[in-house]
Amino acid sequence: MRINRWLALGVVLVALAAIFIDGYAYIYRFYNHIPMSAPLQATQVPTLFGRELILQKGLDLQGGSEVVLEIDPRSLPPGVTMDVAQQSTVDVMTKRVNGIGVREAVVQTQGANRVVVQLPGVDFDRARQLVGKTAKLTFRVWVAATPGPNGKLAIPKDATGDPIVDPGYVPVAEGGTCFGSATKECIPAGYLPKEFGLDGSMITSAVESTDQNTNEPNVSISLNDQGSTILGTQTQNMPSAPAPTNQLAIFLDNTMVNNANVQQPLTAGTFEIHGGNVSTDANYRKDLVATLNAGRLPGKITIVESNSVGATLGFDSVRRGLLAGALGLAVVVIFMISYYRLPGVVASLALLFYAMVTLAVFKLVPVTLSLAGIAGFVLSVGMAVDANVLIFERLREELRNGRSLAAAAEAAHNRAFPAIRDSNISTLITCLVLFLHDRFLPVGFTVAKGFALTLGIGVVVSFISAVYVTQLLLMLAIRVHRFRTARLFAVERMQ
Amino acid sequence: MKDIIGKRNYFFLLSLLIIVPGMISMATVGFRLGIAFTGGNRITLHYKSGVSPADVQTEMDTFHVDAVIQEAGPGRVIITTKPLDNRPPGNGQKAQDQLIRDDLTAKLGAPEVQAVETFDTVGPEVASQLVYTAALLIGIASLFIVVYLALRFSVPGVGRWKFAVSAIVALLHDVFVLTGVFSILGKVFNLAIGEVDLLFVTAVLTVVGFSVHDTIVIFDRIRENLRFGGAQRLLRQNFEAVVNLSIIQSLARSLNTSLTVIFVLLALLLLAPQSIKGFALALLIGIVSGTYSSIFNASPLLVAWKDWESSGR
Repeated sequence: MRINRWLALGVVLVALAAIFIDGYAYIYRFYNHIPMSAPLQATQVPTLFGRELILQKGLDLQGGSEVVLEIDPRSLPPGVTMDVAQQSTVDVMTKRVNGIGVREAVVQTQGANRVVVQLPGVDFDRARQLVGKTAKLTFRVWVAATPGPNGKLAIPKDATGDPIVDPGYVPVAEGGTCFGSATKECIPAGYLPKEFGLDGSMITSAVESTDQNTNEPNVSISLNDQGSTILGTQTQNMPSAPAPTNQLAIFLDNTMVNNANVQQPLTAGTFEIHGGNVSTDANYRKDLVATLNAGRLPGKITIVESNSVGATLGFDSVRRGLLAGALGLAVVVIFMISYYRLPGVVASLALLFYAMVTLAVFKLVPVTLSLAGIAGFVLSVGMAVDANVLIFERLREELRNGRSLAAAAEAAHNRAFPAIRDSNISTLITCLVLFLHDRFLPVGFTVAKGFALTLGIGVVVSFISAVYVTQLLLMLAIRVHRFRTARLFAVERMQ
Repeated sequence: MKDIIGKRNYFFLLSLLIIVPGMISMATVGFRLGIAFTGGNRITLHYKSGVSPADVQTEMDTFHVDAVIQEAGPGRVIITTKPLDNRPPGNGQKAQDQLIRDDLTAKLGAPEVQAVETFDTVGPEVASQLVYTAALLIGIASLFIVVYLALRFSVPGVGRWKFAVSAIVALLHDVFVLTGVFSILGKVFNLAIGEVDLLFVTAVLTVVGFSVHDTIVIFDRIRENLRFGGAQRLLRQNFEAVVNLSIIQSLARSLNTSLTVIFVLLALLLLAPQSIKGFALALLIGIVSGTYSSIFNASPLLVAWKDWESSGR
């Protein structure tokens, strides 16, 4: 069989491109005068034509949190469909996440009523604080209420059945769990909060700021014209009213973030939120500002699933995964060379080509590598050898049947091909079903998707590598006269 | 030449010896389900020296959350609980799950490292849908493979469905061996590695792909021998001999391929982090079963079916 020069050229070009992409981080370092061994800073990302050429690591490998949110259909305003709500939840979450500057965060829809938020490098408590709120900001005043038959106030419930004030703010005497003494911590006994037409949609901006008198950090909020008119009218007579009707409460969802005496009518259209977490927790302030600026969600959300991994454990997982891959590869190479001799060497070279190209494809796509993804890759190394084994077993058979080396190589290739094609396609079918299942099923297995993608890429590349690269290298090898001995092909005798 | 087909009933029996106890175990005690299926929380705790897993158990018992502690390497435990409340009651009070994490960090956590290394929550509603999805995925993948095989393997005199159906029976064999062994490991022997989680489902689906992969290689040999067996024209009249010859011819390949995959999986099993050890074990069992069923079940089944058909006519 003659060597197809175009095929040879193609293989060489692909190999060179793969080496370039795999080693691009080093080219980037050299070009930008960054030492070869120093870790890259967050700003030093190897990019080529505006595209990042790095191996993207999943949360389980680099540490971070993933939160799955579910939108409660009962809480949607009339006329808002779940599709619209889901999309605007993604938009709002993206704004919030960008607001605190998380690098490479992912926000996407999942199934019919879920949204997934992935925050690399963010621990779980912070993640929950940032994405767990509906961020429905309401302004309320206190109205005296009649207690129920048991002498306690009945806290009204919202559309989803939750009380409009979290139990942590309801005094113990009223059946809640609020132990605070000052009226700022608990809702005033005997009073219920009532909205007066001002809400979060009338906010034009929220910024972190400092109180000029006390130097205490706070969050400053500006309202639009409509909002400042409503607030001005409402607070007109409040300063002289008896407590607690002189207090203005601000609720974020059902949590009371502020309750303060109105000293003078609020007509300027700006006011500050201070006290509690706002004054003491810098992250809380930052997240509150990001949340308010991103706008409220269309409906109520609950956290249905969350995963969080520490950075140290992630790093350990990468190291162990790579070690397992390297060991597996080494054993396979030793086995192939000792069993098949010269063809085994050829297969090992093809395996090297396979590993380089797969890595390059991972960087190009880009594939976000998870622990399951590494397992898929390691496993596909084992698979990649299969096609070679098929061809080499046939080669031995044909050689034993007395064919010449060239004829045997060609026959082995042709006869092994249907089995390689059909078996790889059946594995690809499984990969496709795994990878696309969340398009037609209501629930998604995130782990399965990552695994299917790496295994699928591995199968395609291994097919090319085993069928074409091995064949090419084998043809080149048998041109060398010294290689044409029975011993090197692990058969008893050869023509 | 070895006669594999002739001894087919022994091989069928061996398979049943593994599958039947597995099925009984699945039907009676079921699986050791991970939180992905039951709902709940899982915490990986890196504890300081001088603390033992029993201390962690004692501390967790004070919260009354059905905590189960299992060791996960030196200085680490995995704590599994029923679903914890993740909604803070308000007014700066902490949610139940945060209270527990803070308590563990303060009392048992190793200094200067992140004490709570992983923290997972799954709500019970998500979990119930997953079981259904998992079963459906296996069904869909199998269906597509049957159709593909029916298209590819149509040999005159054997028909197109015998190959496809035999391959699927071998596939189900592997699925039952794997799930059965895991049921026994997790419930009968009560081993943590036998826990069934999302990665296990992924492993089952991968074995579905592999099992057919392996079977196809032997079927391809049968197909080739039936079509092009020039000098073996006589053999064509003896289906049993053709199948036996095909198995023997592809035996070295079947074993060598499985060996390479087994090497790789053993490396994973030995070196991989705790969280994917069960996954590596599941794949290992699946691959071994897949190799066995391709050689000793799928092809013999083809012969048994054809025999039964010709004796019936």
